[in-house]
Amino acid sequence: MRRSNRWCRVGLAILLLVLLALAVTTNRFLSLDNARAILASTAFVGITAVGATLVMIGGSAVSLATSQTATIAAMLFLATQGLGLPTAVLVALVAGVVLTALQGAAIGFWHANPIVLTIAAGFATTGAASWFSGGTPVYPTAKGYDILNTTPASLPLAVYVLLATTVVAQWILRGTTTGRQLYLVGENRAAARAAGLPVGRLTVIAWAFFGLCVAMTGTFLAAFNTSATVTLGGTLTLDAIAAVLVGGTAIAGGRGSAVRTLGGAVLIAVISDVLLLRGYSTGVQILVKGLLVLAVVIAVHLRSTRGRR
Amino acid sequence: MIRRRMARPDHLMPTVSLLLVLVGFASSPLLSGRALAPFDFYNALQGFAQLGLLALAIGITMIAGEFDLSVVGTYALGGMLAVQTGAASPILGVLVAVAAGAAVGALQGGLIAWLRIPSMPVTLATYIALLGLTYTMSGGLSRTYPNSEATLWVDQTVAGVFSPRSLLTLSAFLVAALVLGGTRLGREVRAIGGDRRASRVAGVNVDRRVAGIFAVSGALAAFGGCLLAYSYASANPDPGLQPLILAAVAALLGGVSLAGGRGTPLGLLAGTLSVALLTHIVAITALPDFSTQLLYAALLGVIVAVESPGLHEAVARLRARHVERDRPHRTSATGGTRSTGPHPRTKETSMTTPTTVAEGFGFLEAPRWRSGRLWFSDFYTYRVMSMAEDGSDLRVEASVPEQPSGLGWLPDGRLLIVSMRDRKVLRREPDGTLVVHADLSGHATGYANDMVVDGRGRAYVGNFGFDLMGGAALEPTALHRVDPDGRVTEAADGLWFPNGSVLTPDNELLVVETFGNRVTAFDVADDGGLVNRRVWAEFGPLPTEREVVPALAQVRVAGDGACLDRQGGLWIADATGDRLVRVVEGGTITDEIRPGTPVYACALGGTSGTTLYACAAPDFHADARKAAQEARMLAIRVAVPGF
Amino acid sequence: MTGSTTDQALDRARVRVEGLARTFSGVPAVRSVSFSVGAGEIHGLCGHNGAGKSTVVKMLSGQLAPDGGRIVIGGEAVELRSRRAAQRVGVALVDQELSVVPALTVLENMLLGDLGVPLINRPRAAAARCRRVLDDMGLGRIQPEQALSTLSIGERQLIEIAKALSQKARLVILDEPTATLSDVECEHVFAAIRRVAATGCSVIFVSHRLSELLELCDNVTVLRDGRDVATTAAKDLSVGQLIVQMLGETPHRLSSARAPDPGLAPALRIEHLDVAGRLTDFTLTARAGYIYGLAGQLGSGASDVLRALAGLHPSATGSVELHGRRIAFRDPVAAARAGLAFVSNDRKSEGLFLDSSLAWNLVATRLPGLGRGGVVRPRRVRATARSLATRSGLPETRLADPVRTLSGGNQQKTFVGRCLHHDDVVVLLLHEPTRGVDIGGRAAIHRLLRQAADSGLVVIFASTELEELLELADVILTMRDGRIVRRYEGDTDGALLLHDMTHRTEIA
Repeated sequence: MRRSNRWCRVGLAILLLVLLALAVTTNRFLSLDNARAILASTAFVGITAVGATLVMIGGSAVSLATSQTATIAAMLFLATQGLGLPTAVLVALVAGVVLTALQGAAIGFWHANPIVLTIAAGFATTGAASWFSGGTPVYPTAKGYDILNTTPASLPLAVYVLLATTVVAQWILRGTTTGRQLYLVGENRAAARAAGLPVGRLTVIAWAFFGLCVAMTGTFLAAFNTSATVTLGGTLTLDAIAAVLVGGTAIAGGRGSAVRTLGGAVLIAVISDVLLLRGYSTGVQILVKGLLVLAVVIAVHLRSTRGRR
Repeated sequence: MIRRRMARPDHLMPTVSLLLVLVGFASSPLLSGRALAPFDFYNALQGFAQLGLLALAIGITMIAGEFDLSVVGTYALGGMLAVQTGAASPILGVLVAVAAGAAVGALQGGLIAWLRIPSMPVTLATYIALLGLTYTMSGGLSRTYPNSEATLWVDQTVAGVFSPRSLLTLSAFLVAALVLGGTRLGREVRAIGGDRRASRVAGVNVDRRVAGIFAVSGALAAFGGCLLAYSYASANPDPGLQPLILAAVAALLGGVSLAGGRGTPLGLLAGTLSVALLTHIVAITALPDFSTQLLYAALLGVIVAVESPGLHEAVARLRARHVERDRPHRTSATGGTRSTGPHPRTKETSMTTPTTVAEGFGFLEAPRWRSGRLWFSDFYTYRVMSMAEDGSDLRVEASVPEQPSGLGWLPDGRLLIVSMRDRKVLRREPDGTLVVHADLSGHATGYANDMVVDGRGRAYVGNFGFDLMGGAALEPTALHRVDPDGRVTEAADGLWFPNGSVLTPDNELLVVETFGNRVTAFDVADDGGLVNRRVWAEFGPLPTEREVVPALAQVRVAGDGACLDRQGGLWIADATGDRLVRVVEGGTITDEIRPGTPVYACALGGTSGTTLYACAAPDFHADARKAAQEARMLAIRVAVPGF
Repeated sequence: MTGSTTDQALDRARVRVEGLARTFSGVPAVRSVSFSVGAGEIHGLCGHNGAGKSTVVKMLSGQLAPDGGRIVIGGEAVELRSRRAAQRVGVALVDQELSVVPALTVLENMLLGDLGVPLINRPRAAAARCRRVLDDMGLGRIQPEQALSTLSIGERQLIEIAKALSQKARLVILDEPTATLSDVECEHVFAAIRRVAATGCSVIFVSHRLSELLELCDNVTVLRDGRDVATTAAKDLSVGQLIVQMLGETPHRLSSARAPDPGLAPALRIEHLDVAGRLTDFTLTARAGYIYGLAGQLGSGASDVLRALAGLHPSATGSVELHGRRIAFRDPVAAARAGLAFVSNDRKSEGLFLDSSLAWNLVATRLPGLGRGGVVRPRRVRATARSLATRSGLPETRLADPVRTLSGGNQQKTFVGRCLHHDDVVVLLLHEPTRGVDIGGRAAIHRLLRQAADSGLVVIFASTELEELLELADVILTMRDGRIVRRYEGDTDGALLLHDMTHRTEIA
């Protein structure tokens, strides 16, 4: 079936060329400001998406509680500002990690269904957030957080964190035993289990990293919005999943990479940017994004099953 | 029957949750301080109408083992299209919305079915695209619906608590229930969700059904969105994920499993009502928002736990560990359950009481201890076998299709085997092949039986003397001598069923006569002839009966196989007495062992020589022993060793 | 009953198979099979592993298209392109793999996929018919509204058989239907089959339980090496004669014992291993350096021994000691840590990572050892993969190729090879070690296993291939119905093993 693989590569190349042509011919696209804007818009979702990549590679599919987890991390971050910035960051990160690691444990050790589990976790997290905030926005108790809004070299700090996270995640996936084993578990959980791989432990690690990323996004969101309500997370859940899927990671697991997810996030941002610059409405941007995800999902699926039908 | 129906999770769950919620609803006056009024029911049912079609849509896809994330998108799209096209004619708006929903659904379903793509990424992508579509159609803002007549009509009170919207939603559930419950479609959808491979093999047209299910779900979601838009008089392009999550919760409470294969429209109805009522209880009693959140979290947590295979395994593991702890040491029951083949017992328990060293045979006979191993014949698996002292290392030494019995060895070590039915003595050559050593068919008047071989290779072979298996009358018979060259000579006559035989160190031949109630002795002359015949031990008078069964009743010891110990005691297996007796010359019984089962032969062996092996079986009837594998080799520690 | 070969009988014969042939990737599974089954005849089909039984069944039921020959049903040649097409022609199949859906009730399963069932349910008529069918099969205690998930595997199989038999087919094929059934259940199945045959339906009954075949069938066709060797009336046959037909003239002998030296300390001591409903009281003391073969058909418990040791039966009880220390064996991670490596019989779904490269598959179970502090060292991975590939006889040039693209033999070598030369592996457990592998590959894998044993491992494998058991094992334990039947260390032959493994021992 190398024929279909070649068609896929050709198709992809053509698409990228078209995109490139469109981009280059768009007014104000080729400017440093624009480039910075694109990177900035990918930062928040990108960090979460990189974390979500590990979860998807490991075969646990997706989490539907991402927005809520970011929200509670944000709330905790702002509420503990009085203890100093490092402590506040630590509290937020630990909260995120613990929340998701518990879910990862249930999924890894007990083979719980990720969808239902994360819906339940989402409710629990929102409930905790509602209770914690008492229905009103959470305001910071000090100004330490503002450092997260700095823009060294005119790029938001979040972008640097995104790049660093991508590097770390990629290294974990490709360079460590854990990462390599995670790929195997995602590809065929039954085979991994029969071979004695520590499926439970690996899943927990993947989810813990994901929680770390979500918590980081939460802190940046908190710093950006300077207050946190229950809806702070917004559309983070689906946006992260979309970025991972466009990056070419299969939802079934076993393939993908952090770098590709970054590429997916950037691609989505570029397309939205081109459309925006050309005067198309938000609706069109979202529509094209949806069609893009669909196209990549189909292409990835066809490529991976070429020998199987 | 009703109880069994109730016990199924897809019926139990929705019933229980609805009942609990109704109880909660009914007791909400306690918290709110005012009694329930019709508008409470109306509001609850309106909430039901808001969620209902969405829950039905996603529920149906979940029953089929899929997950349609795009229902919220179709919901929004349906509302938007209805608002835009249904200004003049609301019906038109409905039709357009439903058609669009069905089209989107069918497209998705087609992709999922024929390309065999998992449903979640496809529906997620579609959801995003639909969101984009509604945004574009509305410019990002809510679109107003100008037809106020329709708006009022849709929400007017009917019978005090209903509205056309809630009635339409209700009827959708009922139609779904009728279609899925009353036609083959219902079980096919559940089959697809339960085990897709098996349903394909069973002949269900899986692809077409899956495409159809998504089309239906799209249409239902669009219809729901349309009704909501009419009711609010505006269409919201982005309702967010919350409706989807609530619809999924409604489905789960309604007894649907995410794994697929389970659930009914009526269950979904109950689940949706539960969610609607719960929302309303919170509104009436002014409970804080997070209480519902936490309640849902708890409920879903329980559902997830119950459906986690790993949790079940962990429980099974714990239980197995407890069983292990409570069972300290597996003792080998000498009663023996129905075993299916010969195998050794590995437990080393005290041997003064009889223990089973091997079991699972047809009928054992002719045990001999030689060179550190116990040799024996199995009548009805037609094998001569040997095993180690503790029953391990079982080996098949020879296959004798005509039923092997007595065993002995020539001075050069070659094994001699009595072949009963064809009355031959076989010899096993060094390469393992069996050759005929001697043919007694012209001499023996019944099946050839036990045998003893002396140090010079001369074999003394007994025979039945009559057709025992055929039920003939008793006849005395001769004992034959087979010389090493195969020559057969009649050595003695007039023996009543010569059976177990032993040679003493003083060159005496002792022959147990089963139907003679005695042990007869001869001296073995130099040429092998038997002289000086005498009675060595007598247990009673000769039986007077000539039929087998009454004759057996007249013998005190129905001696079968026998073996000699160093002090001149002869261990004999008493076939009808279920015991082993040790007899000395003169007839005194010095020891008796009752192993609790009939025994038919014995041999002293083991490294110390003090293990008395006994061949045990429930009886000696050929048909019964052939049909079951219940014969065992027992081992008993005795005081005086053999040779 | 018939069994004759007069022309008239042939013409009347309901089903005729002529010169059926089928090849897979150049390897002929069926060379030329011909036999005929008359109306109302119960025709037995048997043959040892690899004889082509299941391929013939697949061709007759529409799952595979024959490369040669033809199938004639009711006098006209048919081309069966799919199961559905076969169903329409009147061929019903009871497959080894159950096709009943646990989520549905018994009644719903009976109706599922049935061509004659109307769109609108007629519950009362359907339930009454279902009740009758259940009673006929001796399943009076089962209610049509019962969920199938409440039934045991044996009962589910009975439902599947009942479903096929009630479909008013012209030909019913049953492929090893009694492997998991008790004696009583078998009797019910036989009675139902006889009843169906009495209505004029042709029945093909495939089984490895030879005494059952002789009891039930009118004629028996024996397949060997893809050909039909003989078709004989059952009343003229004995189990022993069937075995001779199946195996050929001289069954092989186990060459004399590399019997384990009792002086050697036992490496693995298994005592009273129990898996509810599948395995009872399995006890074995295995010594390092020896290869133990468990000979047992489906349902004998042989595979459950291996899976229980590998940690895949969480409810197994018993005691397992490795070098004197008790090990936890109810969890695969614990078993792997203790040094037990498991090669399952389904390398595609429970063994290999098909889309990953050969190199990664080879090192999949030793990644922690190849890294330092959790970090992978690519050079060491490459070197280890190369060395493993060479030692396992795999081409180094294909190290980067996904395992999916390798041949069956190479895939199996990968599966076995990754467990070898592993410092932590002490016991090697293999289920059907050469399944789907050709002769050359099989010899290579046997060599690998012998080398593994020589290097001090305990090797325990379960197989239904007599030749493999006789060639490879030092000690053979035959198993049936969840228990050990007999232990062989010295001379034995295929006939004896087959006797033990099949339903009842021969009553001459």
